[in-house]
Amino acid sequence: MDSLPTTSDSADLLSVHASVSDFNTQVDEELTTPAEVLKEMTEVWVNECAAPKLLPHRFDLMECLVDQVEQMESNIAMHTDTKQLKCAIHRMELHRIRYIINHYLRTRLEKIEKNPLPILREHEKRLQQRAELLDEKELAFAQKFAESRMKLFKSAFLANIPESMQKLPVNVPKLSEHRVFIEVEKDGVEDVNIPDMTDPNGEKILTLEKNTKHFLPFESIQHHLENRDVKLM
Amino acid sequence: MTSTTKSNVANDAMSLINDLILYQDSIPPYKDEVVKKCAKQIEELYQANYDDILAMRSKLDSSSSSASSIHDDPKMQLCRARQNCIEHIKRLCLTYLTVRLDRLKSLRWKHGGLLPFKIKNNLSPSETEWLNGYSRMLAEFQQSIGDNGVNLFGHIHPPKSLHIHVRALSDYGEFELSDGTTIILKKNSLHYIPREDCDTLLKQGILEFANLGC
Repeated sequence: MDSLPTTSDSADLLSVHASVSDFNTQVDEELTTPAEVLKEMTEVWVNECAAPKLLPHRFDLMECLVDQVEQMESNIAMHTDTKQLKCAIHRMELHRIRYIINHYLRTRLEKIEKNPLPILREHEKRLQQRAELLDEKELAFAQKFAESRMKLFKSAFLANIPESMQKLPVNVPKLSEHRVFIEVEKDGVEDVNIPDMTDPNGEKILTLEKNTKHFLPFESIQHHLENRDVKLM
Repeated sequence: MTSTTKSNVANDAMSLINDLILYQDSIPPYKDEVVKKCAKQIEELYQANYDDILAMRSKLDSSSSSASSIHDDPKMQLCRARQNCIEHIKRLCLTYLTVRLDRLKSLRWKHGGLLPFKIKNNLSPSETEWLNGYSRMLAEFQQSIGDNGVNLFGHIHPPKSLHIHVRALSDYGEFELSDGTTIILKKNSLHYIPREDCDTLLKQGILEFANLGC
């Protein structure tokens, strides 16, 4: 069991499994193989873990992956008499994929739970204009969470103090201090403004060339991240 | 009315915070009377402010002096100090409640649903209700994804191998694995079983990882 393939070989495994078990792949508009779905999901997951705030959701990818994992698991359950090694390798790969999915969901839930109100507000602002921040299930969760917390505060404390004092202070997170590592994916990316360290109010302009790596404030490259011009490391 | 008064007034609220610091990551018993007392203090301060401002307003209306607003009245400083006290106490109390909730949440994730009895005793009824609601929210969310739902409590660490060595810490008896075989868990017995099967037992403390050094 020492030479189990790493996740970089998972693409091969997934396509092998697909051809062996002959199931219907869920077809996304741009991505057609489970291998590509996994590759993009991995990137989305790394971005989400590295970003200091909640990124727009990619539940479309994630649900596609979950469906495929479930299909593969039922396929494996049927093939219990095949050689142990092949089954073990597939099961190991499925464990890894499940870990990625679970960790992605857990990270997002953690970020929502830390500060639900600003996130709900941003979700409202974004509707119909840019990519949605929260999936509908996350939205329901965030609303219920904020409600139940408010209910606890009210019953334990706020109901007993005068009405005009009953407003809950909301923490607006300061993102200006967060720095992230990025790698530039595409050519011809717009220049970014970064704060000039020698002059408190000044800004420098940085040109982003393909395949370069940088360490800069998250705010400066936020919109690039959404356009998928850069990715976090 | 200087800062000494402020610290006297907020002493009860500070005691709540000191409790939290003392107990570090765990949850101290819920001090319902102290919280109610703080709320009452805020009420009293608010009422005093209200009365004072009303008095200042009526003085302004009835007097013929050229004072332009109540902000020039020296008593306004007192009202501002009281308002500061109100904000301070409110912030301390809300911090107390929020930190308790955060710790409760991390305990819930750590223990996977079964909280130790000591902790359960220390919670207030509204906190127990919140915890049940939170578990329900999580369950609904997990169920809604995919056909069988996802279990967010499993797969916490990147998997290194399919099976792990575990040692039983107490006499549990018979335990059925996912492929049908039954194993008998006696105290200090070693087993090599699939990862998913032992997740729950590991969380409950019936099994522990066995470092066999191989």
